[in-house]
Amino acid sequence: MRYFTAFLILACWSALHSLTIIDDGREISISLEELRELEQIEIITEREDERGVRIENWQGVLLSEIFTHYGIDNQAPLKFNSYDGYQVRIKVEEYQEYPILIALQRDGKNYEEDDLRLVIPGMRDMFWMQAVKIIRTENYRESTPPYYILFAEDLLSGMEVAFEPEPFRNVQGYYLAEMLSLVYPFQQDEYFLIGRDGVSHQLEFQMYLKNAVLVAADDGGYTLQGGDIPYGMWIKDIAYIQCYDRAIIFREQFRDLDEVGQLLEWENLPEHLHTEDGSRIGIDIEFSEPVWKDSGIFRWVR
Amino acid sequence: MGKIIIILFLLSLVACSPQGYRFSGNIDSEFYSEQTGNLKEILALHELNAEYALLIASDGIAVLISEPSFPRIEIYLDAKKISTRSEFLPPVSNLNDLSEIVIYNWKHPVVDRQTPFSLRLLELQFLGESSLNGHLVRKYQLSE
Repeated sequence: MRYFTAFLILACWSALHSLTIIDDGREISISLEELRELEQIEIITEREDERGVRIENWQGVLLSEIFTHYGIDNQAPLKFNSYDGYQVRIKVEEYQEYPILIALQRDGKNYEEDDLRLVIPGMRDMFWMQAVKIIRTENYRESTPPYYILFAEDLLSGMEVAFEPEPFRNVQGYYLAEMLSLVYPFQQDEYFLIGRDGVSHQLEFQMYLKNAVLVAADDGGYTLQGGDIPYGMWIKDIAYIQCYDRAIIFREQFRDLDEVGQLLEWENLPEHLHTEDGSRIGIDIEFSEPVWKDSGIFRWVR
Repeated sequence: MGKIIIILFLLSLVACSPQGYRFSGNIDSEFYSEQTGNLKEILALHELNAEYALLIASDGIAVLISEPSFPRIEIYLDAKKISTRSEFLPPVSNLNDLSEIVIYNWKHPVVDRQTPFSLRLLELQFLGESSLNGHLVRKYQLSE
């Protein structure tokens, strides 16, 4: 009975808090009422979909206003998680460039406590979110270059092709977990993944990646999809995966290492990478050259 | 008389128990070592190729370090216990009473998407990561 009462109190308390911000270990729970007390602004957006152009009138609180009110001096990228498992990441530059709205109302209609919207005019609506639950400030390691580098094409060539990998039909590809298990010992960790178009996610292996599939596209690239990754977070033409100091590059997506560095905004590139037998390969050599193929693991020695 | 035999037996077990720390993970066979010195040299001495080393202390605290950090950590004898220290790596690398070094090498066969190293890592809870002088060290704790 005591446990049931405690559970009931906890459940009621949670229900009263619609948004949680986690900043440098500090957890702030904010109720809908508290959000309503902050300065409200109105933003009108235009979105185009199959039904035509939609004009929407959003009302809510700017995230910068929420941060100021709760004493958060944000200089870090942001991660947003929804109640249904969707996740988006916003870079520091994007946070500074675009107005990020926590919408409490659309076209005059109020949202429920657990259904607040993330609206970012200027950014594609795949970055928008329904039912935003947690906002986390964090320092990503995306710009920390790896020490170990492997190539996806070499790993995949030794793996069995999965025809119609669950739950998909009429496609073929590879199970991501199988490829990761060949080169990573980390299965309870977060992986940084980025597509050729720059769309990136930091995803937990257990929650998102363990059932994900690399589906082969007609152009030779792969789309990371499925399993537990919500549809809007699928990564087309996946180009790069990193966990800790170990990276997998999808060689077909790049001309050379310099292009990888540009996508990942690495500040300094090495002159060469070391192969397993200790020889060096200049990074100006294009990935199409045979010297990069089937050479195993490369080291970026600093 | 029976009690004395049991006590003698237990004492002999203690006396015969392996000293030092155990090498395990993605290696051909596990063994114990009492070798002290810098980790890179110890691995070379035992002819072990490692990309990562997971150092586990007897209290269940563990740190994972990568190859570039190996020469920066020293294994030394401290009051009859073997411990680790480094002035260059983050302070979490200083472990008291080292009990095991688990080796990762990607060339080790993968069975059911696991290697001995990854299975051992699953027994640990990730606590956090810390960086110093460009070296990233991950801290873990044995799950209860």
